[in-house]
Amino acid sequence: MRLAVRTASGLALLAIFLLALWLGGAWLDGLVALLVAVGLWEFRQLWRQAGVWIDPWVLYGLSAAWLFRYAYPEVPQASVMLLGGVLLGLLLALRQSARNRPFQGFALALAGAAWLGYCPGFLLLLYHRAGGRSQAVELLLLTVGVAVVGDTLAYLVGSRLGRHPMVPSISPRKTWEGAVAALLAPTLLLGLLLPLVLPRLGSGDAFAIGFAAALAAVVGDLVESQLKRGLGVKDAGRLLPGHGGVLDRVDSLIFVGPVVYSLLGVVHAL
Amino acid sequence: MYGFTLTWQSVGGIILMLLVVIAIHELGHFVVAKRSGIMVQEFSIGFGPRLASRMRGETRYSLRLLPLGGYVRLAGMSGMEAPPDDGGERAFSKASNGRKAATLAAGGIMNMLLAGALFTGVAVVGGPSPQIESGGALQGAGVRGQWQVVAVDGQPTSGLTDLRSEIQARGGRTLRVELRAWSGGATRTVQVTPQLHWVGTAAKPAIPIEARVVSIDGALPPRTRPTKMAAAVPGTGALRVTYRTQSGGLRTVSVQRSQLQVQWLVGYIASEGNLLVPSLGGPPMPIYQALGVGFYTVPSQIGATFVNLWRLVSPHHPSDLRLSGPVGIAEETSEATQIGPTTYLTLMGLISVNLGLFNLLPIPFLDGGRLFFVLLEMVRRRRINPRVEAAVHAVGLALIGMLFIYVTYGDISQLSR
Repeated sequence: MRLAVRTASGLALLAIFLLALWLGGAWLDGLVALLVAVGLWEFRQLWRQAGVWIDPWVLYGLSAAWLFRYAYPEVPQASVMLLGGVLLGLLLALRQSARNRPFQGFALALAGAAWLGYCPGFLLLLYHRAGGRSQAVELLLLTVGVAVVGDTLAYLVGSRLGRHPMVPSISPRKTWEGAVAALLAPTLLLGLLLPLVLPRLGSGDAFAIGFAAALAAVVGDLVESQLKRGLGVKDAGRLLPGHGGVLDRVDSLIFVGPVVYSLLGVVHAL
Repeated sequence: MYGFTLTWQSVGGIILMLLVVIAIHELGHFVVAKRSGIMVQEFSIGFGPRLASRMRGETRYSLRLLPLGGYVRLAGMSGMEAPPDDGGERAFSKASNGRKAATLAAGGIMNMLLAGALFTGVAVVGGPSPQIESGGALQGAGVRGQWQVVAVDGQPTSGLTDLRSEIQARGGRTLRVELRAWSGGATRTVQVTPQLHWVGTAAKPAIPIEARVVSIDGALPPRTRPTKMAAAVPGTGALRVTYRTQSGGLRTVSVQRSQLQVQWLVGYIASEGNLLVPSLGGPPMPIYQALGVGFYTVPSQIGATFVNLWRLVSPHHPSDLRLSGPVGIAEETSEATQIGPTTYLTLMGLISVNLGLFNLLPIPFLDGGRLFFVLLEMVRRRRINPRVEAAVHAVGLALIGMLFIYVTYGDISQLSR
């Protein structure tokens, strides 16, 4: 039953993503922004329950600036935005009473914006800097495909064949068997398909990028699990039936975009 | 009307292709069914009226009139051919899910293996070798036989256009050309001075294309880029171009400066490679390398098929991609038989990969659709109502029929264009 609910809500989210990709442009930006906004809200709620107040201006403002940095090609955007966030955050922290430990909230606002604004911003960079609409759509499909294929296989293989727990201190249900499947399948996916989308990319490079991306997806999943474990909660939210919160669903995608975009830049394929 | 020519060779090529690709597919089902203890009632090559048959054990092996494929009939499996006989405990329907899945998947997997083997063979043979033209500069420098140009003045070259523009950019100066033997690892480096050749059609009286230009205005052609050649000759009037005729004599004609169309050439024709799968068209490979490249081509072609299917439905991809049906495949096969055996075998591999792939996709009625139901039963650990499954397959058959008519119509309208 739980599997059916999980499958249905996962497919629904995927369908919404495909629709946004189909409509393209502002629709895709809008969907990514919506997911990031919900993720940031969940992030802030998690810490609020743990008694830490995070400054919303810095968290949401810096995240938005970092998320849409593709739109400002001329400025060394990310660092200028960071500077703005730091100054604004420290200024706002001065207003707080020292008992609220404002520096902690400031630090978490920067960390949250880096995790949920800066990293997802690479997905939009990938989309908007690709050579043409068709290539942009295909690159984004493959990037999201890494996370989807990795998650699905990790779940299926892990729950059927999983025997050896990988990091019992973070998550008891993640197994080495699941992780191997989650690494292998996306490596093959990108290794075989990326050179067809980017003709200048060699097969060896494509497999290497595929493996790095798969690793990034597994790490992204673990990072979110560790955050929740540290705060003593199971799910980050209850928005998606069968999955928990938005963060629980998209966690593995967060680091895939940065890895794919940066490595494609390194091999001059983009 | 433009159509494909039906010679004995091309008809034979089409029939042989269908026979091999489908017979291998059925052989896969047959072998795994036998090994799984499922009763095989008939293994037939071809469809229609029976030409010859022999009963061996419980299986009838037959050869039928229409050589357009074949089939395997398993006991207790509802199919198109015959009413499902009850094979008792050895019926397909009584087999374990694992054995059912293996039997169903074996056909498509055999197609992939066949393709890998064919690609390996094609890679061992390699593509056609480049040619060193007789009378050209390379031959003049002592290069005879089958050699491939790999670098010019230390710059690696790939393909014909690279080499040509490299030579033009150096304005006819002497080049250090690195060569590798087509059929082995031997390399050598030669000093080559390119020769100037006529490539234009504008001059009157006409100078034959590729004729070697010996002198311009009585002097050796200036060593410069072809685009700057006319300006590099002193004076402003018409040029006296002296070229070597086919009989070996010299002839001089007067050419307007604006009509001087020449190119520096070294007398080398690069290999055109493998038209269908470029990675198989290089120099002949040793077997261990060919195995790797050949079998890697199988998943990479599967990936290409998925990307092309996506591009077919994607609104963002402006393309002339088109689904090809049986008539389109026959047309391509007919063309491949004209080009040569390696092209034909490469095409056979490609068709085998795609046949195997589509058969394994979860499309109702096809092997993959049946396999999907078996896997679903394995995951759910519960039986699926056979009548529901039969209904899904019936709908699938109807849809495949419609798709068949659609793509065949497309093929024919493409042919008559």
